[in-house]
Amino acid sequence: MDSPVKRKHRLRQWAEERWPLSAVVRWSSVEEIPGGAKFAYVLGSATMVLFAVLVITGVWQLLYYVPTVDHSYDSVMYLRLQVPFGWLVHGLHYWAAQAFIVVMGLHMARVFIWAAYKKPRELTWVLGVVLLLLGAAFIFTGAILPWDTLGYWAGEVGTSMAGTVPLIGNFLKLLMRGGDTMGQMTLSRAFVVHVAILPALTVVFIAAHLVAFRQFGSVGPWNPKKREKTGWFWPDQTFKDLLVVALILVVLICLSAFVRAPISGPADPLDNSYSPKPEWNFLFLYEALKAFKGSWEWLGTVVIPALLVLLLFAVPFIDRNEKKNPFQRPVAMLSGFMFVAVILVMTFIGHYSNSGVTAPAPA
Amino acid sequence: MNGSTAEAETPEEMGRRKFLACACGILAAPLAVVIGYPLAASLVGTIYRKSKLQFSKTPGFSGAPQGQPIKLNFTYVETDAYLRTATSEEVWVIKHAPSEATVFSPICPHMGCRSNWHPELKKFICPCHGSVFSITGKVEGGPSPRPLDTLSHKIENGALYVQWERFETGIAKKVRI
Repeated sequence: MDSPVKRKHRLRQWAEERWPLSAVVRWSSVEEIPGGAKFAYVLGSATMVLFAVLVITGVWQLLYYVPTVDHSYDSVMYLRLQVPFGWLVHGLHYWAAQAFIVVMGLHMARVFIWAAYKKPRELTWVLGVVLLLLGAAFIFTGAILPWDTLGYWAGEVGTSMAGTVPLIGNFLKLLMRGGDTMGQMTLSRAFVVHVAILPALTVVFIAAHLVAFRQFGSVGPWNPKKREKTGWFWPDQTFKDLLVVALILVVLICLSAFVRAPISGPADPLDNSYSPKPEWNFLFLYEALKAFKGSWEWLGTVVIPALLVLLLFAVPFIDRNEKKNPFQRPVAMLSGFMFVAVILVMTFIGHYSNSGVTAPAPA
Repeated sequence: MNGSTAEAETPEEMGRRKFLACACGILAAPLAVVIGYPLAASLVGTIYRKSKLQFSKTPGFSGAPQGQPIKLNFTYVETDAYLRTATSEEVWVIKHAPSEATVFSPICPHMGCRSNWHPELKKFICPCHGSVFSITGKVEGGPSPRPLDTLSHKIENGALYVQWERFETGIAKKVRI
């Protein structure tokens, strides 16, 4: 009779002849990293793990959530209050979404500083920018789903902003709302986009992003001497990735436990005491909007966001200088710093400003 | 990228990599538990939960004749997870005295059809498979494995309050669903 080791070997060989397991494991784990494994490189993996957390907690929420205007709020509250650990599933989804945007932003900043967007990695960067936009779409559609006051007004304002696009604005607004007012069709559309279309697109773009990354590998340190030493993705970088992912998950669990995901009362379109203000990730845009009024509004709702997105897409094509050392790229570094600073300052102003509508003082 | 550089082949390097691989496993296992346990708990935590029982006022009791079964309708709020629906139900009530009654569920314990009172025969008969019950609910014929199910109730100020619940069918024991 065969020993267990021999049986295991034969089973593996049988499977190997029918499915290229070793090749897939090799492709996904064997990667030489110039300069060795570094904590600076964990951000891409961390973003992907956060996406996995979002998918899992999202699917779990679908066991309880219903996308109808009369029951979605109750179903979310049932999950949060009645289902064992439902608060954690919901909280993890909310906080992982916030972390997804933050970690993705840090990942982009890291890639920018290391000049990892330069030839031949231009398309890796472009695919990454598409993933950032998909993340923003996830945040927008996800906020609508509980159909609470917060989500209702986020949807109302977001779709109204789409309505200011010249020529096709009204069509876009009706398309997003599924009719002329916010209602069941809006919720159904936000739901389908959030749980089917965006996840599918995100998986496709993550795959394309990873294929490009695996093809060209890590860019490594800008100092050629430091590039001579090499390290491995498995297990060196994986261990560092896991350490940081574990830390992020612990933080997310603590946030879910101690800072509950915001939810206001059921949506009430007649509630005029509520001043809509977006979540932190859209505050910079909200502040930009307030600068333009009347017939110039479309500059804030369309032109500025479009320019910001175009600028991000164009980074590798504008900066074609081959140098990677950030100290030898003062213009690029200063521009990048300014870009981040403007976004941060506008976010802070947006956070502390009022909603732009001041109640008249009593006579 | 075949993983066979000179550095990777030294016993020290191989030992280091093996150690890191084990460390990855040791780190990943508790993470899987920390995430997996709440997911499993939220999946199965509600499946054995029973809906809360409540007494519902059943109109028509005060004017009901004594000693003979009468069908009374009532409305109760059915709670199904987050859905609360006003639902109408009916029960067979036998009034013995102004403050004493027997309440039968109309659902036949055999297969769940609704049994009817036949005054001319003085029997409850299930139209589906012919189970026959006496006025006390005792099985007198047919396939029913147990007597008609009685329902908890209370009488306050002449009004009847019934606690609606359903039981497993097809078994000899009265087990609440």
